[in-house]
Amino acid sequence: MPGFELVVHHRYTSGSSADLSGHGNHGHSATRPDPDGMPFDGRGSRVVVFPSPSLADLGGVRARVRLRADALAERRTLVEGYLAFSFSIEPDGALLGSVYAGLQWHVLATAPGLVPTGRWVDVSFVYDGLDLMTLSVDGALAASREDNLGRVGGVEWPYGLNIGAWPDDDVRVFDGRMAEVWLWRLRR
Amino acid sequence: MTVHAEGAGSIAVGGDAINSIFVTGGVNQFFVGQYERLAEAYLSPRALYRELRLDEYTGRDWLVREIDSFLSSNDRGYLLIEAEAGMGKTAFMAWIARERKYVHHFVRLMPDVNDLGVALRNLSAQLIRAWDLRSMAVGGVLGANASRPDFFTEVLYEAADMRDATRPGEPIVIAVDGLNETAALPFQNPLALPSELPDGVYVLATQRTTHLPLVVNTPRRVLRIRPDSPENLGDIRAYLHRMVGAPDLAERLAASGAAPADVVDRLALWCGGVWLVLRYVLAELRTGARSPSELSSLPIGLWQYYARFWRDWQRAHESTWAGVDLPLLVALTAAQEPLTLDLLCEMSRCPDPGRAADLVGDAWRPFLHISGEGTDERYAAFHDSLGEFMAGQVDASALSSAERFFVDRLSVAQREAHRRVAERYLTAWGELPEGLPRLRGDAAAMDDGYGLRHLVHHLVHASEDAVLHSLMALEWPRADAGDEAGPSPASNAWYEVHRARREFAGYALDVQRAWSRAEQVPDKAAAPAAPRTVALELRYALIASSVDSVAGNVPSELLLLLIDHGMLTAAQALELTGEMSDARARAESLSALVPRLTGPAHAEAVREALASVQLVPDGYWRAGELLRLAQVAGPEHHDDLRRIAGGMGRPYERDIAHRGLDALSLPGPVAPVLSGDAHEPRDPAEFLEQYRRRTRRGVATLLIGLDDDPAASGADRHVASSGFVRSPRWRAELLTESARTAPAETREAVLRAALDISLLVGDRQILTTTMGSIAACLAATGAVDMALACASEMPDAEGLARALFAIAAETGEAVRPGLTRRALDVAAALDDPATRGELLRANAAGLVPMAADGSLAPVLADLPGGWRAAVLGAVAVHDEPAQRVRLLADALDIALASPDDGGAVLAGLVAVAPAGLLPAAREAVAAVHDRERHDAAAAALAARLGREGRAEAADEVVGTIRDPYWRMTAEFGAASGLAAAGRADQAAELAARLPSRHWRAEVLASAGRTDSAYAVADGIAEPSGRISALLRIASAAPPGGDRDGLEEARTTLPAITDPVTLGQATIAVALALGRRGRAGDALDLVRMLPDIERENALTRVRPLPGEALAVAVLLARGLPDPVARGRVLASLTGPLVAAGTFDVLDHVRTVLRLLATGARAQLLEVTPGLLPGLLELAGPQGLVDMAAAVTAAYRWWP
Repeated sequence: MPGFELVVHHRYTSGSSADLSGHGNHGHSATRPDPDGMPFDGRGSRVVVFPSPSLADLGGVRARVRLRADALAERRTLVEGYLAFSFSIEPDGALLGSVYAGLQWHVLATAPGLVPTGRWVDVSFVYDGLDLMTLSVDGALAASREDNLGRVGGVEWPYGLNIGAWPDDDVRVFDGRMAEVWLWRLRR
Repeated sequence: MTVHAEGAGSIAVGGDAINSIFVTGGVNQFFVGQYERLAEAYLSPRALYRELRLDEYTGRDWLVREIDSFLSSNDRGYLLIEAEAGMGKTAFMAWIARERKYVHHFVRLMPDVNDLGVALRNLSAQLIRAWDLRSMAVGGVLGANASRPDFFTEVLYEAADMRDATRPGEPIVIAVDGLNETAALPFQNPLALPSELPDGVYVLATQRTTHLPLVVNTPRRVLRIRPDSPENLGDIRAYLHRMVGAPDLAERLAASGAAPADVVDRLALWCGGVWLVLRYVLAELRTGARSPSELSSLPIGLWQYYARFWRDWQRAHESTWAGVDLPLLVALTAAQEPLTLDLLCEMSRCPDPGRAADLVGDAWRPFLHISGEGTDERYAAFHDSLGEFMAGQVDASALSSAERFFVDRLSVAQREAHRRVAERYLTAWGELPEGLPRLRGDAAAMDDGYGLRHLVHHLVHASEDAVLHSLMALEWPRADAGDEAGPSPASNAWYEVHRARREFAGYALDVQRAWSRAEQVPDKAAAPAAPRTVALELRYALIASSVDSVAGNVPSELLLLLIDHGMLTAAQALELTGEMSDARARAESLSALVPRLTGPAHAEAVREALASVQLVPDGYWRAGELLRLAQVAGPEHHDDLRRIAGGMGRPYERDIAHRGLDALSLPGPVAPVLSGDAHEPRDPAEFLEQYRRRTRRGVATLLIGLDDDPAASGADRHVASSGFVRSPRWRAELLTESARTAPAETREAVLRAALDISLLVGDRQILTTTMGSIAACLAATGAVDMALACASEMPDAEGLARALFAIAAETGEAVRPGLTRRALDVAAALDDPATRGELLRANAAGLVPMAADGSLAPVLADLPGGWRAAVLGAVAVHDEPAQRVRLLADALDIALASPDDGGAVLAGLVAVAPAGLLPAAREAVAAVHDRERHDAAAAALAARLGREGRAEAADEVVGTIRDPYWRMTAEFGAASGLAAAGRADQAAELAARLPSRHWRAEVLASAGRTDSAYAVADGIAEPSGRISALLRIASAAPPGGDRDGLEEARTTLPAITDPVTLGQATIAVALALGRRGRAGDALDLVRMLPDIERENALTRVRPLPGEALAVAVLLARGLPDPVARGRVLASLTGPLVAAGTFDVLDHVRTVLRLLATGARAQLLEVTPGLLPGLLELAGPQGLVDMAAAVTAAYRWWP
């Protein structure tokens, strides 16, 4: 059974994007969070966490976000580690998780319409670093995939770990608010 | 050796290496010359043709027929003509190149035979001229990157395309003479000749009968010219008949009464098929120095001829031999360039320049190649064989004992000549032990820079190894007067003096020479007492990779701002861009610079930018850089850009580039590009806008404003605000962007800080890890003092603490507590509590005595509750049972009392809690309010309860978990625990609830229900999913019974159709086979993987016993990427040393050579893996030397 270690934990509702995991993976953003969480405008907002030793060689990932989407319309990034993993919402409200292994993205998606707009939901994506991917919404398993995909690499420069936006560009930006974000790596 | 300047078409290029700038890229280092017109890059062989007397050329029809046969029977390929020295290879190549107008290169014309850029520019220039490849040399000028092998290959293919379009069927033949005379860079062909050739392209090359590392993937044939072959002897007779009929010689023969036919017979018999000796003897006959009647006493063969001639010379000139003749002769053959007589006299300390002038002007004339005119007349040996003879590199079996003795004395004299030359420069520069102070001044350039170029060569040939390695390690502190401030605390003196003169090529060659010299120390078996130089070799590998790593971090926008603020001239900025190794970064910088430049500098930047764009890997990035350049290059360059666009492989990028150029040059709207991918912009303007955001500057703009620190002020504020970006490259980019908004009075300081930061390698963390590994390895050998000395070199306290803990872990009971206490003291002083906690948890085993005597308590008291509990729990695992319970109970209490972070570590504590503490653990878990932490801890508790066989309790805990993943994990953990506890029924019952079928299968297999487990696997239709289940069954149940999960997984692999999924599944099966002890079968699978996955698998398939290890080495050697190859081979070092049947020295050397082609971080990362080999080869002192090499490289290039 894989063991996960929490390496990023941002509780935006506390008014800070400091990392509570103890690994110093603080979020850097031009926007300040407030008691209602971190606002994302769907155009240029993002929280960046730079590559660090604790984000190198993730092995597996577990990402969880408590969010309220205001609008979908296009793919909305929740968390993406450059060339490692991505977790996003599709325009049709499907949840999508993927890992980068063997120079290709391996995707798991739920049925459409699982992520609503206008209310808070709790979503998570897990890849166990071996052969299991799962997606869940509000405590319910929404999709799973069993494939030997091997270990996930690390979060790399130049883009690092991006929360709420596609690392490469101001696109696929989340539109809404995030209250809390967690990221675990496989325990070393 | 000589380069003549004869008219516009043949300007010598001997000085281009002097002005070269350093470019690195891909696999190797390449050196880029200043821009040259095509004619300037051409090494004209006209003077050589004259020296070779091509007008007297005779014979070789049979060789020409063989060449024509090869050309007609192969669609491409390499044809090598092999022969010993003096067999007329060069004369033949000169003749055929001239007659057939083949593109040609004569190695002997290269000012420095190791500067392959000269050769590649020469060949490229001819191909471009011959096939009118204007896009490859805009304005008739070669770009700076024309020295790179990839550019030459590009030219070859372009030429082949042009040939197909204009003169289809015509072979393109490249004639290269003297392939063995140039050194091949590691993992490259000599002169970087390509392994693959386009259709209809041939390389015709000559070489001595020696092994050459020439790897080709085309047809290849070797033609051997044998001295005694009838064809060769026939050619010689024909040549002699022609010579004796020539007026000058015919007259001499007639005067002496010798019959021409007799002379031909005698010389043909005497020369033994060697042409070179005929040149010498015919010259003697022509001048009357030898009478035809004396022909019968001539010695047989080239070496014998030299021996006889120079022994006779010595006897005939006893009075001048020791003082003038011999020193001059060995200076002539030791010199690395044609030299003036004045300089030769100085180098040989000749007291009689008049006699020296007589010798080179008359009696020694047949042995010399003379270039230049008047006072600039320069002298060198006509044929390399004379230098080889003087160095004693002869076939001694052909000589008498007296001749061997004579040759030995000559070689001593030549070594002395090398030593004298080296001493001349070291003395002029202020002596090595004094730090060569005058090397900083004009004295460095004495003799037109000869000393800088060739001192290392002379030291090598003088066998002055200690001086050589001291020179390469000479350090100048930055604080020295006159030295500008820089980011490093000290500089490598030899690098610095080359850097100041932009002579990076020469420096890199010297590193290679010194490195090769270090490698020549005989192996341990042959010379047990020989000093071990493997650490020295590592030093050179680190130097090579360090120099590579600092090149090219300077942001393009920083260059512009430095120009704007008068801190850099445009010319200097342009020069700096030449140092950028990455073609994309270079193109980005050049396109940014172009608008700021005027006149020749503008034209030069555009030319280089065009060349750089061509070198950007084909695809998105090339299209983007092409369009960026198109915006600034001006319409006169659009045709060149269109040619580049036309060569792009993928239709989308090709079309978007063409459309972008259309938009710039044609009126009206541009048709959008068709693309099947919705994310690809169809409008070129949109594409360019998107691309700009992905440039380095574009990335930097994403960082602006992310972490402003309003508390700081002035330049410090900007520098401090960028501190959160740890990569020097990206921090420099961010600082550059922030400089734009900095107040005017602080802007220069910000820019200077950005420049300093961009010149850092930035691999400090890897350095710390490497040093820690070395220290631990030393401690494991018992060399604790050495280990501590190594640890003391750590650049920071965290590194020191880690190293001390690592050393302590490797020592015996007597010293371990003391060292651990010391490590604890250092760790306790660290600022960051997370770093402190992580360090203590990772080294908990050594802290057991401190937990017992209470000395750990005050350190723990300074930690947050979560870390305190985590450390105590980790210590408990290593303590005795009674203490374990107490410590874990304390840890649980602390975790309970720390609501903020205690829950985070609860899962770890629960997992190791003894049965007696489980009630307390349940209580602690139930008290965690944070749902995430509760669920994680509850999952661990469920598994722990399962192992105790307490199914109901486990189920109750599972029921408290909300998160579906943790619930699944808890059920799986509990079921697995129950299976391990022998509760098969309960395990199977719980397994039935698991949504994941492969987890279900594993639990059933663990519970001994293998039939049921296989039934689950059989029910999975999708092959990769079935393989997952089968592998889990195989890991849970030992092989036996009717079915073998691992074997079934292996045989299921072919059912996977998607190649990427197949690759990942194959790795999984291979790793499982390795763990099962079937390494051979595992490697059979690994062999079929694509390169990158093969690399991944080869570092992980373990163990590798016996033959499997040899197979793994072979597979690793087949990896095309040298750094990947080095990485895998390094990972095999431990098993190789343990096997005891491999050549460890050869292995380590190979790894170092491979990894030195990459970044320094890549080399340092694998260094810990190499330690067993280094220890085997050089013992503990070798590791100490290695640590010194690592810290020195870090001092010079931090």
